[in-house]
Amino acid sequence: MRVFFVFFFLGSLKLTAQYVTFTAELGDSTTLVLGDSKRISKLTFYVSDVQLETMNGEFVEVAAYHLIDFKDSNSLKIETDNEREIKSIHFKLGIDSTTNVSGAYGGVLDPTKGMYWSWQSGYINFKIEGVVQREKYILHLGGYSYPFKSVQQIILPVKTQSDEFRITLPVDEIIEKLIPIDNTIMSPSLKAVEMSKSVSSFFYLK
Amino acid sequence: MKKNVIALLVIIFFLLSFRQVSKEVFEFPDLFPTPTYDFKNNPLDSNKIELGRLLFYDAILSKDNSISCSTCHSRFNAFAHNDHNLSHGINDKIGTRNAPVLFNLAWQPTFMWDGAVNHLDMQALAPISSATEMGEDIVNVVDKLQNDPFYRNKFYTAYNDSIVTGEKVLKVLSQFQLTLVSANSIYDRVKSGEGEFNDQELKGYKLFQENCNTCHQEPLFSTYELAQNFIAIDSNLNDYGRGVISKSSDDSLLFKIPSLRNLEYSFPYMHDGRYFELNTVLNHYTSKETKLKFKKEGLKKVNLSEDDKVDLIAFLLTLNDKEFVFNEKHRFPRELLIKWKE
Ligand code: HEC
Ligand code: HEC
Repeated sequence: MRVFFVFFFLGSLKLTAQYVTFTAELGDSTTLVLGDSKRISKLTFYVSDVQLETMNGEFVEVAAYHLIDFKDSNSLKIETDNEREIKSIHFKLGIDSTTNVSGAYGGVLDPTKGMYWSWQSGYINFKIEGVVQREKYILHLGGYSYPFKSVQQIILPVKTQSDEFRITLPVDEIIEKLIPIDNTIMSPSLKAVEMSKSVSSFFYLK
Repeated sequence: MKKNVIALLVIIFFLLSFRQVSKEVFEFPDLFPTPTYDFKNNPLDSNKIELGRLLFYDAILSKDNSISCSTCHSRFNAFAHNDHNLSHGINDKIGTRNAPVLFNLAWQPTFMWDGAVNHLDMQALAPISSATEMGEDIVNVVDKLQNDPFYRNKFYTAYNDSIVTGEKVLKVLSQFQLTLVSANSIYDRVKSGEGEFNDQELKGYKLFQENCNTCHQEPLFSTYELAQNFIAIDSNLNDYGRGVISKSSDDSLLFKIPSLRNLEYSFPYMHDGRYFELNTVLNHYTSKETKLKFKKEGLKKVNLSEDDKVDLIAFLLTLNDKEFVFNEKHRFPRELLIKWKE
């Protein structure tokens, strides 16, 4: 059995069948239209230290760093070679502090990926941009040092075994609950930490 | 067949030994502490240093090929800039800060006047993307270099692979800048027993140790931490230093302590380049309004007589390192001229 899991974005909370259309709909168009008044032009984020916890409590490392970009369907899937049943999936939303202070890296951590601040050091852990009710919103969440450390640990319990685990981020929750609080965040701050906590609490396993 | 194998082995051995030769050791005087830069992640290599030097001097890093790192960091000014107090970048746009000196960077834990950059490798992203400096984007820089046969070749020599990445661009820029070590001043010669201070310099040295060494600590002449030397805020710039980054009023007006080496070459002084002479700087330190703040300790006021000031300046001038400023290894690479002509 090959286990992999899929990061899966729901515009509105519909059924899995939507997923197919959803990815197909994107193609090379740049905006994802959610209803009439909501749009996402960018949704990218880092997940790191992705591990599967097996039934006997062992951890299987799946990926050290991974960049999810909803415009790139290949990025939505992380393959593993684990074949055992698993109890839970652990990952961090964002990049740990040590990596943030250790200089330049390549691969998904290369600064050409657009997930690094330039005028001040640090990775942007989570980006969402778009338009809601004709107003632009832009949330760039990050920050690696106290009191603005924003990386979040997420643990999702597995209820039914499968060879495909679908982690879902209900984007509507962000748009309805977070954007009204602040629609422009572009540097580390206490608000960014709070928002990172909220975003990480929205993830669930289908 | 066997002969071919042997020939191949000889060639491989030759190539391996060639690559070995390109490895460089980071040299620094015994007097200096262990560097903060972790060379394990970016081992020095003469081909990479050379590539870093080319990029440092090449305006290809800016949007319209008009500005290079050396536009603002010139060798004869200890890699600071002496024409302007505030830096001038692309389309003559004026920045908000004075371009600092670049040397002994391997010992610096943070960069920029407010310590906003935590690693030398990541520093270059700031000028490259700043609208008032080079107005470019690291993605375009990588594309431009990748499409330039000259640089493809250079990256191949340095990395055995001609693929250009953001990581490589940043790391080779670090490599060149790490080699900018300034450790050949009169002070250094006195410390290694090869010279002596005259009476005036010696008096100045004592005054320095009493009044300045807490922040501008020997032998690098900075702890490279943040402190306040209370220069009044410029109401046009409203630069609150570290406070802007940490969003904490405790950090308001904290700036990174600069090294006092090479002051003869690096004027104007301070984050906004407001002082052009050492005399004026010392008058600032002795003025009634000046309060010094460093790690929550209140520091005693600086009291210097006019004679003391003259002696102190005599000592500060022993920190000039002419050999560094005229070091041919750091100069503009002639190869670029040939490249630009083509
Ligand atoms: C338009 C002028 C300008 C250009 C071009 C420029 N710099 Fe700078 N540089 C500055 C200024 C101003 C600062 C201080 C910025 C601050 O404190 O916010 C600085 C700071 C630095 C620092 C930090 C030094 C320290 O002690 O903290 C380094 C390293 C540096 N620059 C390297 C470079 C490199 C490499 C390039 C080319 C990729 C470059 N600079 C291009 C003006 C410039
Ligand atoms: C409390 C720590 C502290 C003490 C003590 C201190 N300085 Fe400074 N010094 C600083 C800071 C911080 C700056 C940068 C301030 C700025 O740019 O706003 C600075 C800047 C300077 C500069 C400008 C250098 C440049 O490259 O721009 C000179 C020169 C200088 N100090 C000399 C001295 C002398 C001489 C003494 C002793 C009389 C002294 N300082 C004592 C913290 C200190």
